[in-house]
Amino acid sequence: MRNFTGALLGLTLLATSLPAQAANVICAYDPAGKSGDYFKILEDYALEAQGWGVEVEVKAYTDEETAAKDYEAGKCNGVVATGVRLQRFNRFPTTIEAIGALPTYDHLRYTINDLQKYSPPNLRKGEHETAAIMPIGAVYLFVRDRNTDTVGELAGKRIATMDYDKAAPVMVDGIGAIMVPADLGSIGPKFNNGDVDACYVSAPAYAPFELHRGLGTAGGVIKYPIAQATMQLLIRHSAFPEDFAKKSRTYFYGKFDTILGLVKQAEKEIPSSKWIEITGTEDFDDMFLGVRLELRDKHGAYDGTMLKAMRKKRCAIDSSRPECVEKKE
Amino acid sequence: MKVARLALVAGALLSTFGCAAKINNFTVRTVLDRATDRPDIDRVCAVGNSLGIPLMSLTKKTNYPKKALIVAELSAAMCAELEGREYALEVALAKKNLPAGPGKIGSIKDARTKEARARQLAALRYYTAFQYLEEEWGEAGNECPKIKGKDEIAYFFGLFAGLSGTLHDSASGRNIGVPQATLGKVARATECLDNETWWNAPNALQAAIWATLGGEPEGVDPWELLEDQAKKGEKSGVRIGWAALSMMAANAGKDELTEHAIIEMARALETKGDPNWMALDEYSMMIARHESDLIWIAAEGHRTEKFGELPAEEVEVPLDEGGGDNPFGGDDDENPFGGDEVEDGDGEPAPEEE
Repeated sequence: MRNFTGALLGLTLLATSLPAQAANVICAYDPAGKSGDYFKILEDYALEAQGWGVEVEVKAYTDEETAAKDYEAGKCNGVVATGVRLQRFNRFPTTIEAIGALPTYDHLRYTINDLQKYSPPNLRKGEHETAAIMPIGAVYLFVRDRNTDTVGELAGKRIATMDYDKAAPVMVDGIGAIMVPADLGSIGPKFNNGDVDACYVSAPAYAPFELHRGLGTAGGVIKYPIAQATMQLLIRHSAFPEDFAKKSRTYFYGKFDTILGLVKQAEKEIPSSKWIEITGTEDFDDMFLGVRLELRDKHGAYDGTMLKAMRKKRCAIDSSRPECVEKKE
Repeated sequence: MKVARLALVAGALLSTFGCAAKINNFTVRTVLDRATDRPDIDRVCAVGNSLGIPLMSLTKKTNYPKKALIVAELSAAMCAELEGREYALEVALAKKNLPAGPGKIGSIKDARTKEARARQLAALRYYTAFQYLEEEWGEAGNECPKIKGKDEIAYFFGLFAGLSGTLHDSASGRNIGVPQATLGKVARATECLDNETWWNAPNALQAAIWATLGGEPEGVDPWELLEDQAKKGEKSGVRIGWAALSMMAANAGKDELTEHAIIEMARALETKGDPNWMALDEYSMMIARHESDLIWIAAEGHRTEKFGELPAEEVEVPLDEGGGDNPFGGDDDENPFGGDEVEDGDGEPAPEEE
């Protein structure tokens, strides 16, 4: 009896120390922190969620691995980070960033729309559910010598690659190039100082990292996307109302054009003279396909269902692609 | 009184009509010197607000007194920045104190809009100051220009304005369009100034940018460097370093580091500031206090009570081993502090008899 009374007293004390409705914290990575574009978008989302009766608090992180680890450790019930960083939680949504899988923003838009419309169960794995996919921008290859504009010419070149990206070694190996490990903070200086011959980033990195210094007069940007980088929101399903993730996906899909507008603005900052138009994309497409298959079959890094959905989307837009007959994905 | 003072300044400036060099000298040395000798940012920003357009009107458009205009635009930007920070506190207060519902959402949205508008104006003014720097000395971040010793302060203010303009533009929807490359340029250009002469602020700014953008030399931790410069700089009596650390750490979501910077700033302020730069020291304190206010509001629903103190953390009371028995021994029904509770009729336990 005494124990029961004590336990009751303890529980009462614990209950009174908690706020009436504890906010769900989202550990949100934005390289620019609280003043960044994605953080602002998430603050708007938190307000929208209040209208749904859910308290959401957005906590800024400028280091995405720390954000992901804090989510894993239970310090927050949601995490926002790049798809590549969230690969370890669920391969299905992060495969949307697969190499060469979505050649244009329309491909990306239609795929994200399908995900919010059909809410496939694969968006949830264990306790983790993907609640948003936002564009960061097409990833382009920046080369210090604009003559390096074919797959063959990339052989032997030093390419700065994110060391946590599982796809990078396979792609770099596949084209016979040399991988130089880098992170977001060092990729700019390595390219600008000539430590590497090429790097691949989205256009929003061009101005802040001053990549024009690395491009100089001889360099350029190959105008054929390697991948579509995304920022994704992953939530702990049980911490939110049942339909919260679906509502969120619909909300963020509605913001797609606004967010894409920021990306396109950044692309405009790259002078037109710096873009390298390539005539035939078959070599790149073949290389991309080979890398995707290897990552799906040998490394388990890409999800087959998502690859297939994206192949269907490419073929729906352009049925003349050879892969539409081969159907390897 | 303020009007009379401004009239005197304007009169002095008019006597130098047509000569940008004289206006630059008068503003950068005399006006700035007088304006910063008291911890009164309101006055500094009022002067900046008022002087900008008259300064531009005294010379031909091709020959603006650019160094003077850096000072004027920067001071004017501070007005808008501080206004924006007030609205940021309004946002935090609404989040914390208002009951859930449409009223709360509307109040938060409105305060956020006001904040964004004020920050946008701050970004415009700061960036204009930075543009004057580049017009005067060439593109920042390339080879260092020749800067006369007495003009170094204008160069420093211009760089500070470049950093601040980028941050406020980014925080307000990028409507001004401050080029994102500005941060990198500023980081390199800080090396053109003597670090110790300017309160270790040039290196602190550089470290702050590296902490945001990367690009630091191998083996350098920008956060450690920023703290190191803040410590070294506080001896000068202008505590910009701690302000920068508190602001950048808060922006990066580094809560412990933000709190550390606030506490260190308060400690540093126990020593008297440089009498020539009291206003700048005051501005630095206000930046750190703003971060402190945000912490206080989130925890307690009101601003900082005493700068340097932080809200007490809520202590979660754990259940005792064994399920909650009286930790002092004896039965739960007994007074754990000894003695029986014998009330004397007024609701309070009666004192024990000797």
